Amino acid sequence: MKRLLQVAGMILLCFGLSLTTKVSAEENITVMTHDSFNVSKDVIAAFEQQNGVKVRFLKSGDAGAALVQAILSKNNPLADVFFGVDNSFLSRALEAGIFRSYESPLLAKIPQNLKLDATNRLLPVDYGDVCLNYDKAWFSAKNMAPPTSISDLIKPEYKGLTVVENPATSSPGMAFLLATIGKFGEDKYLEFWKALRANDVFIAGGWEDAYFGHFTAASKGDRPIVVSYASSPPAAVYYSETPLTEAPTAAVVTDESAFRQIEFVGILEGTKKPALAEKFVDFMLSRPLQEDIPLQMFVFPSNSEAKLPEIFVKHAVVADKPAEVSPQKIESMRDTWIEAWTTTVLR
Amino acid sequence: MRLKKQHISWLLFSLPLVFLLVFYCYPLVKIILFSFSPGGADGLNRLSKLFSTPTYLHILWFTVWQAALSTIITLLLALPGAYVFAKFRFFGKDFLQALMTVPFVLPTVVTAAAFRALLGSNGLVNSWLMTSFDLSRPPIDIEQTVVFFLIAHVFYNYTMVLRIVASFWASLDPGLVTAARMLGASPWTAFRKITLPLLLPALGSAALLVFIFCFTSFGVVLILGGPGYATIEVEIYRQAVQLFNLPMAAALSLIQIGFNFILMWLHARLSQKSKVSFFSDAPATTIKPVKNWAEKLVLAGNIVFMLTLLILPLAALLISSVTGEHGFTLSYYKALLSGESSSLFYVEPIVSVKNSIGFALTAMVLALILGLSAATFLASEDKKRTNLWDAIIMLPLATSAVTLGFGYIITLNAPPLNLRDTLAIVPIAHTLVAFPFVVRCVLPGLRQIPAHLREAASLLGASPYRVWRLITFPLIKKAILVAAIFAFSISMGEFGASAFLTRPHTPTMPVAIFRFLNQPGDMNFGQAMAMSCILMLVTCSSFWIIGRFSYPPTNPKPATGPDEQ
Amino acid sequence: MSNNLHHQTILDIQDISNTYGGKPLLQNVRFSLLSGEILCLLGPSGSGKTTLLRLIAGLEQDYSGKIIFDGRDIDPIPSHKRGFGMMFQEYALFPHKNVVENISFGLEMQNMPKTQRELQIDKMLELVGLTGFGNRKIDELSGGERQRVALARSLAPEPRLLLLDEPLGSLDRTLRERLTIEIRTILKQLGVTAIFVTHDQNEAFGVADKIAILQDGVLQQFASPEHLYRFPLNRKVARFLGFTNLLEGRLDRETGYFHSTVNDPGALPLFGPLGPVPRPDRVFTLPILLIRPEGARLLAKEEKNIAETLQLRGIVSNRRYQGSSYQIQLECQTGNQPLHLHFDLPLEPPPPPVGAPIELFIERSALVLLDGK
Repeated sequence: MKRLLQVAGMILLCFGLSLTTKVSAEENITVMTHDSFNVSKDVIAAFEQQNGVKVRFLKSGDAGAALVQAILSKNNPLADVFFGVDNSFLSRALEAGIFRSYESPLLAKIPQNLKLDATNRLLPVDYGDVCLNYDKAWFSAKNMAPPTSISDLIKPEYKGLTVVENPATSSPGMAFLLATIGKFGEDKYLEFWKALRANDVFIAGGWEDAYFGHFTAASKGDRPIVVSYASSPPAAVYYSETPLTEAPTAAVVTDESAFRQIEFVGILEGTKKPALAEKFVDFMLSRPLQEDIPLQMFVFPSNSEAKLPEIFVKHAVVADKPAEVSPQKIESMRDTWIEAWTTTVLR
Repeated sequence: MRLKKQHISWLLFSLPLVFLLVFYCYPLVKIILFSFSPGGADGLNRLSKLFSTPTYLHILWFTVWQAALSTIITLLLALPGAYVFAKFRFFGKDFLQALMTVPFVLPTVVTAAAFRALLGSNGLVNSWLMTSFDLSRPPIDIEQTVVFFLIAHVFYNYTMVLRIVASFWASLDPGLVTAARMLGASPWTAFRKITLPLLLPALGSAALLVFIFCFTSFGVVLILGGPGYATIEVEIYRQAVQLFNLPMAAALSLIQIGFNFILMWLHARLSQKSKVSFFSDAPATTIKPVKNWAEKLVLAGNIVFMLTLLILPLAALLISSVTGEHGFTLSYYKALLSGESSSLFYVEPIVSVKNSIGFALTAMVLALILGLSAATFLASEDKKRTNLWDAIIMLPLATSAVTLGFGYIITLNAPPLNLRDTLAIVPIAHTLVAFPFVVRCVLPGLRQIPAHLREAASLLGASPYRVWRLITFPLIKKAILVAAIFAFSISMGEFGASAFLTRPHTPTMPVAIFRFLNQPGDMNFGQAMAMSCILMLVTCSSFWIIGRFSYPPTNPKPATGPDEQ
Repeated sequence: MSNNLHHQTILDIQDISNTYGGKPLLQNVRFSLLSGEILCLLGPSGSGKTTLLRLIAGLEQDYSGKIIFDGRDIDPIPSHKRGFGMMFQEYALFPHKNVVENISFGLEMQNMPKTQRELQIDKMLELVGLTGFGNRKIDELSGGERQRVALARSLAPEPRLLLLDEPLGSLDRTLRERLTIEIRTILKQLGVTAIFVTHDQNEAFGVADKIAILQDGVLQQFASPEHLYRFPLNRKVARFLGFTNLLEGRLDRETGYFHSTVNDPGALPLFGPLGPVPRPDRVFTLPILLIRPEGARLLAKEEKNIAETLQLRGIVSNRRYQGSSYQIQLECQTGNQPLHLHFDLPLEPPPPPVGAPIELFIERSALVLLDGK
């Protein structure tokens, strides 16, 4: 045991040293974000080189948890920039007053429909459509027509084929619930869910569980239809074990069958480096980073000038007319909707 | 003025006490006050639902019974295993023991994947049954049922109960059972009347830990139980993060803490009543090789059970990490080790292993220091007076990770405690969970040591420190080893708390696994499985190394060799 | 150690009092001990003797009064620096160490060099008769062997004071008797000052130079074994020493005659003048007469009419053969209730059977007067 303590001590010492060497005297900018954020090394390195700063990323749990932490640290912010507020949390973020407005020159290159905050405190960086994905091979093997709209799911032939995520605990699950609210309206969406429940829908706790646990195309599961992203098919090709020419899955983005999740970046009120923060926001909206987004996070860049990688051009689709629910409505009704959904689908 | 005994033990206790005050009480109290303050959120009216609907009562009830049931099942299943491990020496014991602790570090998503690969509707068992008996539908369907997450709870906690109880059992005087048998008791009666009551302190400790773990179960219930089930912990997360209803989250946290506090206090009181202080003179000799048929049968039965419960899912995991679309493949491992990723957050496996081990060792050492000082205090003081402290020390285990994580954000934000965005926060959070664990592992054994042994050493000229090092420590070495292993594992598996902390991106192994599981594609899933297997391997070998260091194989007598632990 | 240390006070206990859980336990205990003496703390369980021992050892700390050892108040010295040795009732042998390692422990604490240590261990093993047992594990030893190891362990560091807490308590009687003698021999051989706690007076008589009788936290008597047996100071001490023949009465100062008050004096079948009773130079307000059991024998026929002899008559109500003697219970019909007295009679001539009348001759020296309070 004594030897164990000695060895442990040695390792700890090395570990401690390796941690301290990472601290540098350079000026730095801190970006608070959620655990799913991803970006290429060289893209960030380019920004660091241009501005002679170090970019430090703080990861703070899922999107919701990260935002709550940003709000809680309002008086003494942890970071200069926050990335990862989506439209379902937009209203909460703005109400909390933690962001300062910034009229980035690059806003001009972003389509109007993505700009949900007129005061420009939160600027759209990327978007992705949450929609149904289906297993192409499964449907062709069964000689069945794949679903073309959310409404198809309650047809008898699709009984027991769908897995969706619980909106209470999953962000795509919430987005899909919003899609049904947008499509069927606040008064009718529960009827759809009632029918879907009768059609033996499977509710998973989170996306990982739904996709890698139950979706036939990605697991040993038995559900060929899953709620995922419109960009999941290119990801499935990109991360395939064997090279593929065609995506094994397809997304359903027909009329109002998808909900658009838009992710925003904002400068935190109380930053001591506003100029640098603005530079970083500009950078996030500029082409190098925007073009990096698709293959790192598998969502679409907000900058219309950004060129999409080939794999996206080939396999990804975008909803022409996503279902619409305003952020204000979402924030004020979230609790009610989730509760109603829980009562209808789970009890 | 000479330091009195009480002063020394209070001095010792001040270490964990200060740690608790700074890293537990202060953040917790502040976030709860903040949540209830009028400015903090919409105020108390957001609490109205707590009392107006039966929903929360249902959640509390569900949380309690699933935890109680999980605890009972785990205890019942692990007790025979503990017997086997406490009493027999057999081939491969070391290895089995190291392997058995692996479940403890597996992220829930991975466990779920492992169980599905085994028991899911298209899993190994169902496929086998369907082909063997020519069935059209999978005969086993436990997805999203209570059974599934109960199995998972057993899977996670079985080893913990086994090791805590076995290390204690081995130290009991076998003469007592022999005496009972000579007095005409059947083996079963002897067990019931003698062994079981003597085991109570360890059983109580283990049961309490399992109960609290299951009570605060988050991922297991969320993923395996499905959306129909929610523990208080899940509801706290939902209220705080999804609905931003901080008053409700705080109220639920208080309920959770209060309930567990009462339980832990009761446990402390009960364990005070069980006046067991029988210590075998030479614990090592109670372990013997298997002799007769009955013993062989018991041993074989238990090993088969352990393999089924623990090793099969892990094997299924291993298989899925080397199975591609066209059968066997090593491409996931190749991709994992090739380092061909442009991502800034790409986790080089070797770096993540280094980080994980670094954090785990830090947390382990901290937890051992704090846990041993606290346990020494609790064992030396009058038991009646320590009930309250005993319960208070356990609180971090029973506290919602979300609440505490948010508490850190609003407290540890100014020098000298400006820790909220430093790496130090991670091992601190792990230590907070691991050190009550150490206390529970060590305290039963510590209380068993007769005061006379320490007094004798003291009168022979040993200073209090040397008494601890030369007498107390060797006598509870096994329990300390168990505590160390679990403290290490708690950190390796990134237990709950750290998910709600703000920290610089530090790739640990669980973080790497989550990163892969975040995106679609079989390479992602495959690499996650491969990474999980590396996590298993690293964990297993760490335990093996820790075990080797504690019981050097060069020990002259085989009777006290490493295979006994 | 040599004998020139003798007759020099080494331990001085001054007015020790303490409480346990609010109740007084020891009350103003005071005595002193000469160097090289063996003191027995004798008393029933709960009398405070172990507490006193633990206070001296430094294992308990709350008390008033002073403990002076070798001219120094030892209160500020922690137990591990006092240089005392202690033997515990359950021996407290370290289960994870073998015989040699146990004995070696105290020597290691003194940082004694290895070669010297080995010599000392061998010496100790020889002293307690366990040569060759060094590598045994503790659980391989019998009770007596463990006891010897414990003794060797506590003696090895050559303690300035050895404390023994009922060290023979858990052994069988024959072993206990043998070891009592052995312990005394060893302690005397080394000239160790020792305090021996026991509840067994035979053990105490066998081992001690001085005996301190503790009852209910009060030191009742402090004396040599011989003096103690001959002159127990009061009823409590007498009862504790196993004396049962205690008669309450009144001492006539003029004549020095004793009058029993429990029983009608005239009715006590004690013939012959009691005469002046040997007694310590004390005045008792409530005197008690003790008739020591060994001070009687069967009255010979020719003695019957000698006026000076003390005679006792009654009926044998119980007769027990105990090897070297008979124990007789004598029932005297006095007043309303029978009075029972016990005597040890020699084997020859054998006493009459149960139910038969008996006449006893009482030695004058068997009578002691003591304090009835």
